[in-house]
Amino acid sequence: MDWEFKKGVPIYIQIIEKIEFDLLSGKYKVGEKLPSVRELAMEANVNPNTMQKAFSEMERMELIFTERTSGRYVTTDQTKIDALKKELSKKYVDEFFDTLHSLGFDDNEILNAVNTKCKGEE
Amino acid sequence: MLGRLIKYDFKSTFRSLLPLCAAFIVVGALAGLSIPDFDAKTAPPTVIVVLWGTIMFALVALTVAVSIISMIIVITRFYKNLLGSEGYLSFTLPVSAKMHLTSKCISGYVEFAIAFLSGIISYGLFLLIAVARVGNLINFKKVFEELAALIVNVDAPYAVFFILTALAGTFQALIKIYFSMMLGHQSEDHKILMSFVGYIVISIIEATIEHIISIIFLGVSFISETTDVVSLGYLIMTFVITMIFNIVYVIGTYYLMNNKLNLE
Amino acid sequence: MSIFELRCLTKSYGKKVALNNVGLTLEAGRIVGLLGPNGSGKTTLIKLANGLLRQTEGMIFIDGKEPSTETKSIVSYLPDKDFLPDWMTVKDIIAYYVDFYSDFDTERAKTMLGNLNIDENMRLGKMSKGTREKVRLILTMARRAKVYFLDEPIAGVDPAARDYILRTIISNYEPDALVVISTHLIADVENVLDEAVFLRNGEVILHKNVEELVEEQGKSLDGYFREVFAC
Repeated sequence: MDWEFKKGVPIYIQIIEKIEFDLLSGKYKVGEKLPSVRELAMEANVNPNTMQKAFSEMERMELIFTERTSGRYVTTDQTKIDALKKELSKKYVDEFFDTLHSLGFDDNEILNAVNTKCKGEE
Repeated sequence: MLGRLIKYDFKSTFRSLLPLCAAFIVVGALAGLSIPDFDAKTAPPTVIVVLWGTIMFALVALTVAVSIISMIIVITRFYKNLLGSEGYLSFTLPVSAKMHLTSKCISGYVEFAIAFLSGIISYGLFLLIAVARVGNLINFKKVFEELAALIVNVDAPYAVFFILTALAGTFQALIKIYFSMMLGHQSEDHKILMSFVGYIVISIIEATIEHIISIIFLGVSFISETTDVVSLGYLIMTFVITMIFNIVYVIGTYYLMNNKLNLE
Repeated sequence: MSIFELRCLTKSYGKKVALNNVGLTLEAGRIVGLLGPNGSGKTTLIKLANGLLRQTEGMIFIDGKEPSTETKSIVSYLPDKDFLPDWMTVKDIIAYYVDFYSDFDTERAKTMLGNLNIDENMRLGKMSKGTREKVRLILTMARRAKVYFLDEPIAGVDPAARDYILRTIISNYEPDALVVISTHLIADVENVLDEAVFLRNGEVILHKNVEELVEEQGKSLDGYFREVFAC
């Protein structure tokens, strides 16, 4: 798995984004045990403290929890995952609209483009 | 720790020193084995004489080579291990500068001793084998007898100080080289050139001081009355002066190594 | 007590001042980048910390002690120089490290050598430059030291090996050890750094947590460095 980080945005934020992605895409299932901080840090080629910070933040966001003896797990609370899904979808839709607006599309044109795409996929 | 430093000094230097000394000893033995019987009734064939002559040439060449190369080996070891890139390895070991210097003094001295001993063994074998094979080499017997007479006449204190001075003098040769190298190391560029300059300057200072001292102590007679060689008093004085120089050089080398190290 | 401290550290060579009244405190469990252009004093600072130079003024403390044989046994230094003896084999140099460093982890060294396909019996003098660099890094990282100084650890190495080296530095991470990386290749290492120290003309002009800096400046550490040190 290749971790790609962009410049100018703190790494821990990007890590959280990626793990949220993996949560929703099904790479990590509800209640599944996560790899250790060190393992993920090595995989992502980042500082373990940075990875730790991301984990701590995700814990604060209640997306993961720590079992003292055995490590870190994805939350078993499905509502949290659903809330995340909703939040991310809003975020990407907002981004999508922002991008197309800045390209000169108005909302109607955007809707048409979306409809065309959906029909094409049927 | 000191033992380990010495071990690695030997590991490095013996690679070239021991084969060279071994060759030296072997050629010495060969010289003894191949020497023709010049006193025989029939003259030895030219081929044999030429063969022996060649081996003798090799022996002389090796004598020069061992003297020079053993010194080069000692110098190179000190330079490479402490002042070159390897110095970054040596001086980050959990080992004091004092230990590094002690190790180099001991290993350098032993290396000189090995070179010297290989010479003794080489020529010793040459003579012993030659005499055993071609026994009636009267020249050698006469030399042995004269040497024996000389040694018997020498008294204990004299012999002791003679040996001590020789040992101290060998150390002086060694530590002077090390000190010069540390001095040369102080210069920004031309470190090697400055080492040579340093050596020459030290030698001049040494000679000057010795000269002054011998003038002050004019009372000490140079030649003793009993034998034809230098007097005991002069010998003792030489020994003391050598030891003083040794101490000065050791302190100087240590000071520079411990406080004025500047690896490139 | 911090594991590395510099107090009013000055080093001058005659009139030339290499380090000017430098103060710096670094904690264990961090990976710190020592960054600055050539001649900024990075190498001088590292040499002083390793007892290879005497300071003109000021004090250096490694785990509370001044540089000495004691600190050398807990500091692992990778200089930007080829310090390996030509005549030894890999096996020989490992034995050498075992002889002198009680914290040398032979197993770890052999594993790393195996991962990089380096033959133990090969003579160091016969190896390519790149392979020798890898060996030097492996020897340095195989020690379980308290402080690591890595001077340009990835400069002369191919990109694949670079990744391996960075992963090794990460995997070697111990909460009670400090790793100081001095390098030009900031973009390659910035994801691995906790903190950055910028050095210019022998003075510390910045010491900050990298993530905080990126958040504040909205650009990468490399980008910010170029801004600060623009000619």
